[in-house]
Amino acid sequence: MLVSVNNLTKIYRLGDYEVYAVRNVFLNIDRGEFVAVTGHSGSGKSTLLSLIGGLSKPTVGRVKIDGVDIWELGDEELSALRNRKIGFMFQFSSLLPTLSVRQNMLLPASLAGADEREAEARARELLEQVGMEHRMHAYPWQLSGGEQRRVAVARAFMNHPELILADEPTGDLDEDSEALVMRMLRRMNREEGTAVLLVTHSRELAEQAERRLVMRRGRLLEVG
Amino acid sequence: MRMHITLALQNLRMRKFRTAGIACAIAIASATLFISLVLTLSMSTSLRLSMAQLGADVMVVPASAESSAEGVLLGAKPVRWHLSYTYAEELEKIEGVEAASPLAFVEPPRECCSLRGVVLVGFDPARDFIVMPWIHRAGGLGRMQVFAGSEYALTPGSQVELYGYRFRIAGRMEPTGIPYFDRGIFMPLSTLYLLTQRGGGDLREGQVSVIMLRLSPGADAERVAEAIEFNFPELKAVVAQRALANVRNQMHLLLGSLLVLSGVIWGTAILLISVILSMSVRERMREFGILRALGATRRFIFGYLMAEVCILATLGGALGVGAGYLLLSQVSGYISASLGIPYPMPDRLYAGLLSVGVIDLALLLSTLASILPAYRSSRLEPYHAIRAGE
Repeated sequence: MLVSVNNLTKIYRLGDYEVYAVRNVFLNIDRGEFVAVTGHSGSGKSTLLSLIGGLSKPTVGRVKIDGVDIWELGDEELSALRNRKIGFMFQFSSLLPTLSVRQNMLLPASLAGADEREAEARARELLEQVGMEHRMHAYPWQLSGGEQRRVAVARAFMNHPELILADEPTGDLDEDSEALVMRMLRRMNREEGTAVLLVTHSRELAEQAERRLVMRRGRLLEVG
Repeated sequence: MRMHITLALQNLRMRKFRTAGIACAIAIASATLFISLVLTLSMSTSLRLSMAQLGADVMVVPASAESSAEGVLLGAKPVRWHLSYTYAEELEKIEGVEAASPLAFVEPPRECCSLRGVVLVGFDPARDFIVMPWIHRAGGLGRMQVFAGSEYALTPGSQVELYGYRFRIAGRMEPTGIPYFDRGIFMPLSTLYLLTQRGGGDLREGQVSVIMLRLSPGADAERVAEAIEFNFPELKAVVAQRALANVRNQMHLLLGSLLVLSGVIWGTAILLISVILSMSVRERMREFGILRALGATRRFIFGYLMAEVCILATLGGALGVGAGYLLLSQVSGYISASLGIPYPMPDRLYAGLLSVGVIDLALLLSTLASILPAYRSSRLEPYHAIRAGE
């Protein structure tokens, strides 16, 4: 078992009100599994991803990755876990605007203290897979929205993560870019055994996953 | 650390306007502080030096020269009067006066000498207690020999041409901070009279510019001055301590204002840096969130922002110090003239140490100004930071 989520709940307080973004979620993800979560806007999909990825602290419940309760870890250990085991894909361009494509790609490897030559080779290989190797030295503002997202998708795989948390990675992308991103996700899932938790509005995309879940008002329901 | 610096440099390079704004604020504050410190320390040193080097307790000038006497004591104002040498003998008879040393200052026309801006200083080797101690240390002064001020790179044995005569340099003085001494060529009064007669100057034989008095131990300078003015109404006796105190008070008022101004500018700069950084943190929340998602620790985010500030502070501090030094070197003559005291530019080692001190202070204050925004940015919840940028 790679991910084990136990009674996960996240409550936001708005004045006197309490809003349940995620409510009593139980979820297990195996190594190499491809899971899709669909649901309406505001149903808690992104929050669930952030809780599993250690980007936000749950109000109640536990998240274990590789048997380790991530909220029992200190900041250094949790950051190292995010860096080495998890790749994030966001629904917006997540490239750092002041860094070139190459520097953005190398960032996770540098944070991990990886060998520079190996990191360079990996970055080149991943950029080739998303058709962006020719824009290595461009800055994000010199790329189209679709190109930026392709680079961000490639960057998520830099440190050979065991888990990809993809939050609408193809939202507002053209068909070709969407197909390219999904191809890459499936290939990495198949070839490198990376588990994928994909959040999407699109049923079509969700159907490409092995397991499909639906979120409604913070609750997670299994649909097949 | 290398990564902090790389990221910080890249960020500063790409956000030129913000970088220039903060660096300029630090540069202006550093320049003001550097100028205030250099002025304070240099002038204090200069006053101390003047006192020590002159070794005179009372200076006697014609009564008509009173208003510029302090300037003469410190050597920054030209001497435009003469008095008779014979006063030296008379003044030595006054109770409390131990020695009287007449000095004559001549600023010769440019074409007379091989040195530019030179001041010829004549002294009486038999009476002098101001120049002779230096000459004795150098082994004495022979025929056709002169002694050089510190400003000229003249080595003993080298030659200098004055009014068509070649003189050999017997030795060189230590820097004093007094222009008449540092730019001076020292010679016996008899030699100076011969030279000025040949060159058509207005100093005649038997005339001197000032008479310096050294008092007996325990003598009251004010009383001696009163006695001189009573016995010789045509003379004015300037007590060194009083004259220096007047100059010092004037100077302290000016420098105090400068230091207060520097403090106000630093306060404003710290506030500005803090506000700009806080705004920048808000604007860059998504960037910090993404960095955290990629595996950056809180400490990394804090270090990244602090690296940015340290680079800016060093850059701004260095620019400020450089600009301050340039400005001071351009206006040192004006400062000296308006205050009526010599203003020596600090030597390289001294200026270097002061620069390092000011840059360090810029670093320290900028770091203090940015600790809170940097700490806040490092404590942001990554998910909140990422969403805040949407």
